[in-house]
Amino acid sequence: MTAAHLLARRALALAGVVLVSSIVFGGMLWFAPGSSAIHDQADSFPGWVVFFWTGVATWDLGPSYRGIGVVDLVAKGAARTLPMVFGALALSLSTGLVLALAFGDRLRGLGRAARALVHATSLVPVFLLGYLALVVFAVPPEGWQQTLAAVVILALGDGMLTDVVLVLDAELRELQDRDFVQSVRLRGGPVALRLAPHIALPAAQLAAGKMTFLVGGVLILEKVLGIQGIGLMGYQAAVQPDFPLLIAITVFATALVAATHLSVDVLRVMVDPRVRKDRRTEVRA
Amino acid sequence: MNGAPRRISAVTVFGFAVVAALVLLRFAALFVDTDPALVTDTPMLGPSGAHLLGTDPLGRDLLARMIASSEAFFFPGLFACALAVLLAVPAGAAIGYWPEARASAAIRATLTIVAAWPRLVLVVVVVAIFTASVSDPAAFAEVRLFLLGGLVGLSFVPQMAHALAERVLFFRREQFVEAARAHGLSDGRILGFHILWANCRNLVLRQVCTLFGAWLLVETSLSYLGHYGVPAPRPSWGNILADVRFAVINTRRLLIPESWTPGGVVDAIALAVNEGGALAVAAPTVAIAVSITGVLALGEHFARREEGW
Repeated sequence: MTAAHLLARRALALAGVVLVSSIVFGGMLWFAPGSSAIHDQADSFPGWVVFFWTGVATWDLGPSYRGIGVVDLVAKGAARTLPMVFGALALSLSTGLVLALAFGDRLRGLGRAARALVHATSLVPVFLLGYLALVVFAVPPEGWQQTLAAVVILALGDGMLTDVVLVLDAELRELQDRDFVQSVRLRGGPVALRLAPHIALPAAQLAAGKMTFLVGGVLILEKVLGIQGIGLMGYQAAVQPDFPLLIAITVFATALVAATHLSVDVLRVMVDPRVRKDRRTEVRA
Repeated sequence: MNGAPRRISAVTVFGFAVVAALVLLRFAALFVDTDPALVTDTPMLGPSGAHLLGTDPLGRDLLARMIASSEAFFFPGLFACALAVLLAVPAGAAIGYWPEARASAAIRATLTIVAAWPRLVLVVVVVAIFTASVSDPAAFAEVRLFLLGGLVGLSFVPQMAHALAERVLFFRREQFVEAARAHGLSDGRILGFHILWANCRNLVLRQVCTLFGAWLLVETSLSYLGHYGVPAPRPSWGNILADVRFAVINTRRLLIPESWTPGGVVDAIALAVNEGGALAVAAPTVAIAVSITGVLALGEHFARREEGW
């Protein structure tokens, strides 16, 4: 089986996950009381599933509770949320890598104290960090400062940075003992450059694993900071209730997680020659 | 094996101390006479003999509310853990011990689907449906908390099951398992006792600690936001913090000392505590952060035991 086949199979499986998720969440909302808005879209539940996926394909999922098109709302929210999510991922991974390198055995006393401080700060929930950002630093209700604050909080809170540092630290420790690293070091070559492809995959896997938590964190943080993104829209859609918008946002979030997993598989094929050459190797999430 | 006693780390002591404090808090709630929902005409009072931590913006006793908050997370959190263990242990054991079986493929597919659902999105969707389904949501507050716990537990099943499956898959190839098979032991006994109990219990306990930490996070977050957490007037550390979020501006102003001498700083702190409601802000903040950190520290203790430290 070639790498292309493996990726195609994986993409199909992830598409299946998104489809099943839409059926599960759609079913829950279809049979829930107060779901007249989605009952107006089709006569039966199977009909609604067809309507939903046709709507996704044609970029038209009908109006939301507020009368604005669902697709327009999701696109507008995603344009606000996605830069924050990916910015937080990038910041968390880069900071985690620097800290993992700095926390090696060389910095014993100081390294341990710094690690404890990072972990203690990182284990604070996102909503608490958002609250502190509002009241201590008086983050404004809009503008780049607000986005920056959100990126930093998402990169740090809910144990995000702690997990990143722990995983990358463990990976780096394991790599440091490998023969190829020792030989590069003895030759005086650039160790970091040789380590980069080996650390890229675990970092990407970690990022994919963290995506579900980031989406949850965004939901909370956007509500706390009043950012008009996917998270706040989803929360408001649940409160109103605006089921057509809620199901669209739920499926979008699931698709985002699935797409991240697929990106990791693509990266694995790119950096790991064993996946390309070994027929028996399976691409796993 | 040497006879040297195992060194108890600070992480372990901290973890056990915090968990013991949470258990004590839950039982202390049964013996506190002060009504945590009783509104008085003394809002944002500083600490005194009558109110050890002061009062909140509605004049309610803060200490009583802090203690009563344990009702919101303790048993629903244990329910979340129990549900996750009940579902994840058989699932993880099955896909690890019989990886080629069709049932394992079906379980794996189900876990992949559940793992793709963002935890808070799942919680918000289901609780929204539940809230829309009942005529008086306040009357079903207890049920809603257990529903929340169940959903958090359910969303944690893939993570726990995958971690366990990886470990079971490793052990099923070990020689002691081959030897047990050769002695005629059944698969159930080998899996249940020799693999799960003897070699995987620390892993499960670690995952349970992580799950309880995640539950505290979800419960306090949703209670802070207001709609889907603990409904007022029932207290939760999340909604206690939400109640005082406007008072904190006053606290911040009072905390700035007139002079940066030691005496000036102490005076500013005393003023913020007595008149600015600093304790009302600090108590739930510290309680949430310390509880989550402590529960995860206990998980770290089990992780170390698992690795044979």
